[in-house]
Formats: sequence, structure tokens, C-alpha cells
Amino acid sequence: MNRFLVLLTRAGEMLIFLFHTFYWMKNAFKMRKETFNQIYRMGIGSLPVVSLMAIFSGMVLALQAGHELLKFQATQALGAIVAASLTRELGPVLTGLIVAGRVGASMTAELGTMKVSEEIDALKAMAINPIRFLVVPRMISSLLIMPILTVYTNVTGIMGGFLIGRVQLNVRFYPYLEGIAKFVTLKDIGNGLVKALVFGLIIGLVSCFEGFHTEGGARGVGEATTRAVVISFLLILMADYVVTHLLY
Amino acid sequence: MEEEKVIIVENLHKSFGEKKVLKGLSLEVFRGETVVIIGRSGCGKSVFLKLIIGLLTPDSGKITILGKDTSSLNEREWEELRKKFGIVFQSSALLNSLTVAENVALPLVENTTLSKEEIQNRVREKLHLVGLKEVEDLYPEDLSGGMKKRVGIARALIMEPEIILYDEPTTGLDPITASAINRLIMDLKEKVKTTSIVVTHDMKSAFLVGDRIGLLYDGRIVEIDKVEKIRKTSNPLVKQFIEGSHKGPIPVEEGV
Ligand SMILES: Nc1ncnc2c1ncn2[C@@H]1O[C@H](COP(=O)(O)OP(=O)(O)OP(=O)(O)O)[C@@H](O)[C@H]1O
Ligand SMILES: [Mg+2]
Repeated sequence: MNRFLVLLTRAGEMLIFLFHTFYWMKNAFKMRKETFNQIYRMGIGSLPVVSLMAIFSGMVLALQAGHELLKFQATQALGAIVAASLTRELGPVLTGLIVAGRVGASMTAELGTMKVSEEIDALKAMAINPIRFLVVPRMISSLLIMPILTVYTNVTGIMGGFLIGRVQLNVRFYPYLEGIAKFVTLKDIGNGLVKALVFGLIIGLVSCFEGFHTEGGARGVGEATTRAVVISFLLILMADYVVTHLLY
Repeated sequence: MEEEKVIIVENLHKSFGEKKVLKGLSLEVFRGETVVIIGRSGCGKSVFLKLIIGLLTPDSGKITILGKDTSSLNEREWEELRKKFGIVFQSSALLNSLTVAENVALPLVENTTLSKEEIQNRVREKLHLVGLKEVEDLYPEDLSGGMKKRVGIARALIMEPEIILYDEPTTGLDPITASAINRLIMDLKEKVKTTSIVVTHDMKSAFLVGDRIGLLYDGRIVEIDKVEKIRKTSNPLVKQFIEGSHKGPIPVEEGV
């Protein structure tokens, strides 16, 4: 019961933190330099990992589906299967998990270090709102990065799927694309992007919140970082279910 | 005419979990004076300064600053009030992602509409005051502890605040720089009538810069008086502290 109350309080605090962040987004323009800086660091820095993850996901999807499709002589459906799985589900979720583990963790570690070295206190003492100064740029870039990287994951994954289709199933490029065009709707793409946006919100919120609530030295920073990643993972998977339920 | 009280602290209590740090601290600071707070390591001096500028909230007690009861302030009013303060953190607390110049300039950049040149001039002037030059483009990680402390002081001065809180401004500085910082604190008082609270272990500095010295012991200010009187005090606690003796009423070992 006690633990439950603690959890509930924490969730409430997180919600208030989110409201403050949205409130201070009115000053987003003032923080543009730092925002671009964050976008660059998060986005470009994530590209190598995301690329590898996306190619291999596409390849695995094609491999799994390919065997079944061969049995039924239906390899022309390969593109549709790979693309639908990616745009609807795997693209946003896998990208979210990677961004949470890479970008989110580093945000928490950075803000947590600032918290324990009194840098956040110093900002407050100088009458500079730390949410406006530190959280707003990170939240905006997290919200922008996630949909962009998700599109990138989808495209790269579809290419990875084609690679396997071409080499193992003798699928040609044009029919592969045609399958995608016939089966994947704009709604699928849109819904996938909504998911990406929601995951971006979760990552930005959880990472910054845990960073700001870090206590007690280097060990505290480590603990906060682990906690941020675990909570982001769980919330992403849970939100995925909820959003899917609401959208389809 | 009665002197204006800039800071009034009444019966302040603050605990962290089971640990009672402040147990009824009271203190009044008048305009233009420098009050020095001395006390054992861990007795709550830094906590006291953080309570004054609202980085921590008291469990009970009342803090009145420039006539405002701080318990009734909302976040925006706190921000307005904090613009009148400069604080030097014990740990310096510089932003590690910014250069020295950007650190010192930050309050001006964020809270004023001064031009770039104006800001640059002011930054250079304040760095000069604390005896630093040609460090503008370095990052805090490239500086020694004492240099960081001085950058922290320059940052606290940049808004030319009415009230400055110094948390151990001379700790970790060589005697020459320490003496320059003492001089600076005295100059600010004489020239611009800054009101200051200085927390320190450095008794030489305490006697030099202080108008009054107070001893924080067991969560309270147990004695506070003019410097000359404190020098001749009969209070055994204060005596032991200023003589720096391990023998006396204050035990060396202290449980947490
Ligand atoms: N945020 C906090 N959470 C829990 N305990 C704290 C916190 N801040 C301070 N304390 C405790 O309060 C006590 C007083 O700390 P404080 O930093 O004020 O000491 P101090 O008088 O400044 O000592 P020093 O001269 O060594 O700087 C310490 O026992 C410390 O452990
Ligand atoms: Mg201290």
C-alpha cells in the first residue's frame, strides 16, 4: 500500500513536471540555439545504431515471412508484410527503445550530474527557470527526433527486407514496392507517426524528470539513469498498446 | 532612525528525515552590514543559505526578506526576489557545458536586454575584480578549484545584487587570493553598501570582513555580536571555535 502511494505521488509529480514543461514551451524560441544543439546531438548521433537496428529488423521480418510465403507461392506479398509490420508497430517501438536507451539515458545522466553538482540550484538562484533552460530544448528535440527517426527506420527496414527478398526469394524491386503501395495505407503511416510522437514525449519527460530528481552523488546518477531507461521502456510498451487500441 | 532589517529569520527549523539540522535558528541582518556565520562542518550553514534563497523550504519558522514573508511567495515572485541576490556556492556550481565567460554572463543574458558588448565588458570587469584574466574561453573543467571559486564569485556579482550570500568564499584559495577576496567583500560593502552573509571556517577572514560574527551550533545561532566583542567573548563555545582548540565544550566527535 505504501509503495503504491509512493508510485502514485511520483506519477503525479511527473504530470506536474510535464505541465510546467508545456507552459515554458512558450519561450521555446529563446532556447532555439540549445534546441538545435540537442537535435543535432540526439539525431545525428543516433543514426548509426538506428540504421543497423532497422536493416536487421527488416531482414529478419523478410526471412520469417519469406519461408511461409514460399510455401503458398505468395512472395509478391513480402513488401506489404515487411512494410506493414514496420510502419504500424516495429518502426516506432524499436526506434523508441533505442532512443530511450541511447538519448534518454544520456539526458538523465547529464541532468542528474547537474543536479548533484548543484548546477540546477545555481540556475534557480540566478532566477533562471531550469525547466525552461534545460528541459524545454530536450523535450522539443525528443518530440521532433522520434517521428523523423521512425520514418528513417521504416525506409531502411523496408530496404533491408528487400535485400533478403532479392537474394533468397528472388523478389524484384518493382513488385516489392507495388505490394507496399497496395497494402500500406496513409493511415498506417500516420498512426505510426502518432506513436512515435507519444514515445518521444515519454522519453523526454521520463529522462528529464529522473535527471531533475537525482539524489546523492555519482551512484545516484547511475541509479537515476537505469530507472529512467526502465521506466521509459515500460511506458513505451504500455503506451503502444493503448495508442493501438485507440487508433485501430 | 531605526536601521532597516534586510533579512529577518525567526525560529527556523529544518530536518532531513530523522536528522534535525536547524532547530530554531533566528537571525537579523541589517542593510549594508556583513554578518559572518561560523560553525562546525556539517552544522547546517549551507542549508541555512539555501533556505534563505528558497532552494530549500523550511519545516517551520519564518524568513522575511526586504519586507516580504517568503513563505507566501509564488515561483514568479521568488524569481523577482532572487534577482536581488547573488550567491556564491561552496562547490562553485558553474555550468560545465558553458565557458567561463558564458557562465559569468548567464544572468545578464537571461534576465536583461543588454547588448553583447555591454555584457562582454561587464564580464571582463567582474573577472578582473576577482583577479582573473584571459580565462574567458576556458571551460570549468580546465580550471583549478580556487579559480572556479573565483569565477563563482564573479558570477554572483554580475547582476550587482543588493544582497550577497557567500558560502566559504576563501576556502581552497591561496593566502594572497584569499586576501584579495576579503578586500573585495569589504569594498562592496563600503562602495555599494551591499548586505552580505559570509559563511566561513577561515577565522582570519571572519574577523576581517565581518561587522558581526555569529556561531551556529546545535541548530541555532548561540552567540552573535560585534567583531570586537566576539574577540573578547567569555562564551566557551565561541572561544573554543575561534581559538581552534580540540579541548572545550564542543566535542570533536559528532554522531550523525
Ligand atoms: N539535500 C539534503 N538531503 C539530506 N541531508 C542533507 C541535505 N543537505 C544537507 N544535508 C545534511 O545537513 C547537514 C548540514 O549540511 P550543510 O551542508 O549545511 O553543512 P555545512 O555547515 O555547510 O558544512 P560544511 O562546513 O562542511 O560545508 C549535513 O549533515 C548534511 O548531511
Ligand atoms: Mg557548507
